[in-house]
Amino acid sequence: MENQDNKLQDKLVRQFADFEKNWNGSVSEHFRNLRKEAIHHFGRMGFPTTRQESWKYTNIKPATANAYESAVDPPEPISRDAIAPYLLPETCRLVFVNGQFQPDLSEIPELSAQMVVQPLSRAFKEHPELLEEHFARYGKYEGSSLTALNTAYADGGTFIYIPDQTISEHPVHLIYLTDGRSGHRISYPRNLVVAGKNSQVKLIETSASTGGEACFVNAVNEVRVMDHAHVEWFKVQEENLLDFHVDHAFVNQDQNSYCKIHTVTTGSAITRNDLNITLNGSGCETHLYGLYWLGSKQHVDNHTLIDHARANSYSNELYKGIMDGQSTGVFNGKVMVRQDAQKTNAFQSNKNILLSDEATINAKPELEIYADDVKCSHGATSGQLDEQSLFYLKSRGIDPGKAAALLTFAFASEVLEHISVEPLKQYLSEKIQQRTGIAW
Amino acid sequence: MTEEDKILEEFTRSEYKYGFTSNIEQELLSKGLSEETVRFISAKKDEPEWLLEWRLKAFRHWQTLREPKWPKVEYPPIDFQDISYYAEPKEKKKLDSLDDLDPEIRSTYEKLGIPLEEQKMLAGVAVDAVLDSVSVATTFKETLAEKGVIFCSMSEAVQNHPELVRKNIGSVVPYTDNFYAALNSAVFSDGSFCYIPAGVRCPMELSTYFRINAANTGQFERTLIVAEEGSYVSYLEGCTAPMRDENQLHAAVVELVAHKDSEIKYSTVQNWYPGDKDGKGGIYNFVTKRGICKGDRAKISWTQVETGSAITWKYPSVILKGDHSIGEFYSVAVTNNYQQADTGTKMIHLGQNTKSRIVSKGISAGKSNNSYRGLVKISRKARNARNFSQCDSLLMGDQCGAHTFPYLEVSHPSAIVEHEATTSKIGEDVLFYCQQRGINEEDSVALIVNGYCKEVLNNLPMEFAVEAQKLLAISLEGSVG
Repeated sequence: MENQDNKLQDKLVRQFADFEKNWNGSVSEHFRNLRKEAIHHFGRMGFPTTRQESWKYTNIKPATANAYESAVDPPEPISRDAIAPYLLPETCRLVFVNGQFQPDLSEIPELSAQMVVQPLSRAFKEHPELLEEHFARYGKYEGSSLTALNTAYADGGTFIYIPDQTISEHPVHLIYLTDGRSGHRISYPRNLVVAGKNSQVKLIETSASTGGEACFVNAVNEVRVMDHAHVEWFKVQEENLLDFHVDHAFVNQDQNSYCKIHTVTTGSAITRNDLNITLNGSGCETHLYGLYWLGSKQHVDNHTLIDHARANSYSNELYKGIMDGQSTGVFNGKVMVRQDAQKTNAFQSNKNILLSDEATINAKPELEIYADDVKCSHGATSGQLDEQSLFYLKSRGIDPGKAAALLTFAFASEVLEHISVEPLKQYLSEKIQQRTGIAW
Repeated sequence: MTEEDKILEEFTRSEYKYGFTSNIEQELLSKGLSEETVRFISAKKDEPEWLLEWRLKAFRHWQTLREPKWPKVEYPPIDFQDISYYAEPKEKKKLDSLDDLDPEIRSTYEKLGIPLEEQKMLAGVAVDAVLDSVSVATTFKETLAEKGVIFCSMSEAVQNHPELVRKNIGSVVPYTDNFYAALNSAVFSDGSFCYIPAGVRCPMELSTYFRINAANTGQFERTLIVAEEGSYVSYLEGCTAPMRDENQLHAAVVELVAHKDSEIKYSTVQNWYPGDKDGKGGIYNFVTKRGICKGDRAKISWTQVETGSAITWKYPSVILKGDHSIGEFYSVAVTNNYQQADTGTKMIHLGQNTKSRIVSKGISAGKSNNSYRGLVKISRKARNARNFSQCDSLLMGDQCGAHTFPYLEVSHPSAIVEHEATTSKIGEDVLFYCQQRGINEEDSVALIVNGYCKEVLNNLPMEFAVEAQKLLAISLEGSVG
């Protein structure tokens, strides 16, 4: 396996030269250097291994065992039906297949003044100054070789810019489809979101696949939330069970800003989500919600880091997991409170239900606190459905299977109810209901 | 300077009360560690061949290991060749009564406030006083012998009960376990050995006072407690050490073996020299403590009050192998000035219907860092395991840190695992309430901290509870968060 690891690593480093040629001077010196340094860094670090503390519970080797190719150009045609299940009404929609933008499947309505929603590849040409200011400024690749790999190759993805005092009318819906029909594919979605002062935006990010061979998605997201801005972001991960999904997100919040992130994971063989939230200003508010329901041999690893750098901020985290089959769930939530961050309130909770004898939960909620006037707490639990509640339902004449389904749905609902985009909430509720395996 | 700062500074300045050295002639082995050192120690103690072999194996394994870097503590690299690995008080006459004890040693204990006679009379405590590495006085041996309880120094146990030692030593903490356990296995000088036969309830609390005395001597204690079927023992360990400028390394190993239906209660009050207020000096306390509940319905309970040492690195653990076995961990850790503590526990659930409970209270002040690091592991076959963990941290002062790193690994659906942790300072409303009832600020803080730690202190044997409360009072007098 070690060899295959290196094989893929060498191949990706080698191919960078070809990739670079395609840019042909169309990009500024700044980005060319950035990418070169990033690939160099990846070449040095290689893929993470379980010997690293942050990858202790997640072995990524199965994901690096395939000989992935980048997307072919032009991409294979994809029918509208492939994305039909994921469509939501009244959104500004961008569809990508293996990281390549699909104008035919996308639908971008008329946007508020000066708001920008466009593929990143175009933004590099049309808004170089904005990109220079923000791209790779929040997502530092030094600490993560996969972020470095993405930084080197990133061109598929979305650039969203909401000017000061602007409220985005429609939620922006990004659909990332992986298409493994003609072989193993690797893609590097990269989203950059800049929310100006007093702006508001809602984002929905759907990751799905068409099936075929195993694919590897190595995504990086950067979000800057300026003063008093309000960003809500919903990540829905439902790729098929062969795929691998790694997602690093870096959010920087300025003072008095608000950010809420939902991560719902039901797909992929291995999913790894890293949310890094830095609260650079005082008076910030951050909410992180997570829901994962896995079966068979699936593996999900949710890492969150909330870094309270300034005073008077509030963060709240709720992650819930339902583990079936031989699946493994990992939760590593870290709250960091720096010395200046007095009057911080930080809460974190991770609750898990194990449905099968062979499922595993590894939880590691961490607190690292250097300020004294704070209120921080975390809790983690693992268990089964409450017997008393089950008994109560059964005593009301509900059969045991349905009672269990009802309680499982209720367990998941605690996360879903915070979703503010109604059609998405509906969609996910139905999906969870289906998963409980009974007719509602 | 505000009132708060003043009080804080007062607290930060309070110096180590037990700092002094006693002048007892010592036999010191020259510095350095090699196979010769190991052979020397073994020969010195007249050990059987198998033990020497075991020490040598441990030493060779130790040479292949590197110092662990994962704990959240920082210290300059230790030169293991710059430590003397053996020291013992010169006088080696066997003693029948306390009167024969070296007056220097006796006055040392008196200065520490633990007169042996008094303790002898008080609640019937047998004291196996370990001054540096060799046992100097053992009392109540006869009473214990009547019941068949063996309580002696490790060296004596090796001579008189080799089969028991051979069977159990390294069975819970093998020499391959970690860097410091390997080092300890190679060069351990002495320690306590305790054997409780089947069906015996040990008639008294057993206690050992450890004390590092000779400057520049790393101390490598090795304690082994075996509780046979249906027996019960409560073991107390307390430490204070003289004030020294150079850092002293202490890497002890404690092994507990609890057979079917037995119970071992292990309590520690640790108050070694923490270094001065600038972080100079102090003891490095890198300890491996582990117990195994071998039989069904066995119980092991660790209680610790940690106020001393410059650096503490200690995870008393329980392997719950027997069905229905119980593991408990109660801890209060106080750090001040530049002290660093990375401590916690591991509960490894292997048997069915096993239970564990973790209560950890951390208090950090000054510029110290206090971390809780714990593991709760429910293995694939541990049906109906139950765990509850509570880790609270109290912060006093804005320069200190409190950290929690719990690991939860659950591989059985029937397990119920709960972990909760909180970090805060002493609530202004609580302080106000006390003061408004006419209690001054200092007393209020003492009251609140004592209440905060009560759950743990309640688990200490009575004599220790008093000492522990005093210790907390000394360290936390007048400190307001």
